[in-house]
Amino acid sequence: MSNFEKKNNETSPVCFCISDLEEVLDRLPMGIFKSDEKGNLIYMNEYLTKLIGEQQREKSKEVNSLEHHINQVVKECLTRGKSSFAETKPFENSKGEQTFLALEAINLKNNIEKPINGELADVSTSEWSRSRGVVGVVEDISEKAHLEKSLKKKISELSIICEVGNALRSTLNLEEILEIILIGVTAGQGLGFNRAFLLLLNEEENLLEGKIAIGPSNPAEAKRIWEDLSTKKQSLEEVLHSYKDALRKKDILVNDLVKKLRIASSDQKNFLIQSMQQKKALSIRKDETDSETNKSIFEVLGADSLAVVPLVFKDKVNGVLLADNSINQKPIEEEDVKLMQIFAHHVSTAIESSKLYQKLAEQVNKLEEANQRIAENTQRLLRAEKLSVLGEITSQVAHELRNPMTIIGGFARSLLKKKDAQDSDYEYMKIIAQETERVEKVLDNVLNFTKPEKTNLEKVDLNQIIDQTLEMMEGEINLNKITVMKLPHPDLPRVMVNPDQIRHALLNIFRNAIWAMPQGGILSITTKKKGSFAKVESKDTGFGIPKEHMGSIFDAFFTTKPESCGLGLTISSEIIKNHGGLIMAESEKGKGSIFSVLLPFEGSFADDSIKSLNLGEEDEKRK
Amino acid sequence: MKNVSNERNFAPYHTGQNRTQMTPPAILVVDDEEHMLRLYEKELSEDGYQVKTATGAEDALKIAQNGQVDLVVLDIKLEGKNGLEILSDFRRINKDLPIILNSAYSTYKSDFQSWLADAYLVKSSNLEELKKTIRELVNF
Repeated sequence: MSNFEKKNNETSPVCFCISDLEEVLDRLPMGIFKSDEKGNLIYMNEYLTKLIGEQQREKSKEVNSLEHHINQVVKECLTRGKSSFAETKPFENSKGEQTFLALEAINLKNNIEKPINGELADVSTSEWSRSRGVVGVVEDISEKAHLEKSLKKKISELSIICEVGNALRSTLNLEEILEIILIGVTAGQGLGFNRAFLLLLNEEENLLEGKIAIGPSNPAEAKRIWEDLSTKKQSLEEVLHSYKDALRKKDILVNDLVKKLRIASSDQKNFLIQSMQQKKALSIRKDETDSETNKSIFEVLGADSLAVVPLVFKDKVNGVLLADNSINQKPIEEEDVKLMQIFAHHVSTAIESSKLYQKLAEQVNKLEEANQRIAENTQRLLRAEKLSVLGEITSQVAHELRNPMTIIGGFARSLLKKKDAQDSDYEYMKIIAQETERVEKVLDNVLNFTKPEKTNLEKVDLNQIIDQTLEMMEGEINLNKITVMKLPHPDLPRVMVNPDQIRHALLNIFRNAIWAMPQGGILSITTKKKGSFAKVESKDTGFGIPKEHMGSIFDAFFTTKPESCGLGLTISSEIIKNHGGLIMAESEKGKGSIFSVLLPFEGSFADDSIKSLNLGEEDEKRK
Repeated sequence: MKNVSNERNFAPYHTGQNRTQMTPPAILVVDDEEHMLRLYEKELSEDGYQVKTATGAEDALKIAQNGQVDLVVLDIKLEGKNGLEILSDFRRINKDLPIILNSAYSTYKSDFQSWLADAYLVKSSNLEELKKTIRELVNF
């Protein structure tokens, strides 16, 4: 059927051109065919004959053959009386390329012009519409089809990358970023791998470490999850969330697996390290490698084939992204790896942004801390200034008071000497002398609180000192509805102290405790033995000390009490420290405070040349 | 610091050199507060001393120059010159004259000028320390 049937040979005016025409038709880069009015193919050019020959070599199935298609088109064209189109299924040509063909057939109707005024009147009406057969062309549209296909794929890839990019931009939390990445790699709407693993470079230890993974642990689970997800039409972004929920706690296995991966950056034979160094995506099968570390990666992950892409940001490699299809055993296509590489670029950027954000957050934190320190230092400076000003005033006032006190007390003592102890005024005068002395001592303490005087030391029972102090405070204790609970250590060794000063120190501590319990409460005072120290613990059930004040409670002139000068605890602290002891405070807001005083049993004052200035028993006796 | 600084106690004053056995030691008390003077005058005279008082530096120096003074109890804050400033004036009159600095302040103790004094006492209503120091210095 390859020859043109020259049935009109004699009548044709261009008979000398037919062989030329035939040659032209044969050389055309497309198939040409013609059928008779019954649909029988009567001509095919060389191109078409070749095509059919090739196709017949490839498959013998009549249904899909080009010839079959041509016959179908011709038939359709004759029946419908107008042009007809068809496209064949792709087949491989002699070069092994996928070939797509398009067919177009045109019905050849009688081309004699319809007479207008009786000329050629013998031609019947039916002659005008009678078909003389069909001519058609077969065109190779493979290139167009390929372009279309790759365009579609590119669009879908771009939309995936765009969606993942959007999702990645929505967070700066590294953990979330990693999750999005892995879901993007595995989600059906994404790259569609079965499982994905992320390994990041630990620069300090020069290790590539498995961080996080995603993926079902078996095919059944995978099927169930994907069936669940595919019932709803979701965008990738929605999938990112629902897949995360669906997989929650089900990807423990893969996460456990990935954490087992720790590869030294120096392992040149390892394909992950190679991928990082060459900054190149790789796809590798288990049977392609001899390296032990490579084999162990396949074994740990239970994979036969893996795709790996490096995470590169500005020439710096952060780690690698690994993916496999070990659940459905689908081979890893080169295209998938390429796409994963583009994807990895987004990932690197997101990871880098997150790191930068973290750094920024750290810097902001540091800045905040620095600001706070500056604020604290300013406060301290202000306090120091207040201290120095108040200190000066206090010192002046104390000095001004000292002279009158000396005079009052001096005269009282002077008069006392001449009075008989039985005299009714004797007692009152003694009170004047004693009270004056007390004021003088307070003045001493105020003036010397930085250097409390080293006065004479006595071995005393601390429990007794506490009792005496509490007796002195009986009025305040009752007035404030305070219950005092004493838990004295029964065999507490005596301490070497100045009893007056210790009483003063304890008095300030107890007074503070009472002040903290305006509605009444319990003041528990315990004595204990602590190594070479005696410990007094004063615990109240008051409102406690705010945390921000804890560092200042022993500072001079620090007070929250409107009526106080802020020296009480300072003096206590100085007295205790001067005795070689220690004072500590702990407090919980709303629950109360505990003040602990530690005093050495042996005392730490070496200077015993100091004379007593007390109106004590000895003075009494001398008189 | 109400203690006598022992290391600065000079040799006790020998009464025999300047006064007879019959006359009690004369103490000059210098203080700007009248009541303080009254107290010291009362207490010391009761103890048998002859007491002279002055409220200012100039008066004090005049008394020391013109009459018998065996010891000076000297306040630091005074009208006019302060106690530390006139310490050396007293020494010029009599280089052996015992002087006790007696102040409401303990801070002057670290002032090197105060080292010229035989003792430094911080004021107290309890005069025992002062009296004891005086006794030691005038050997009375």
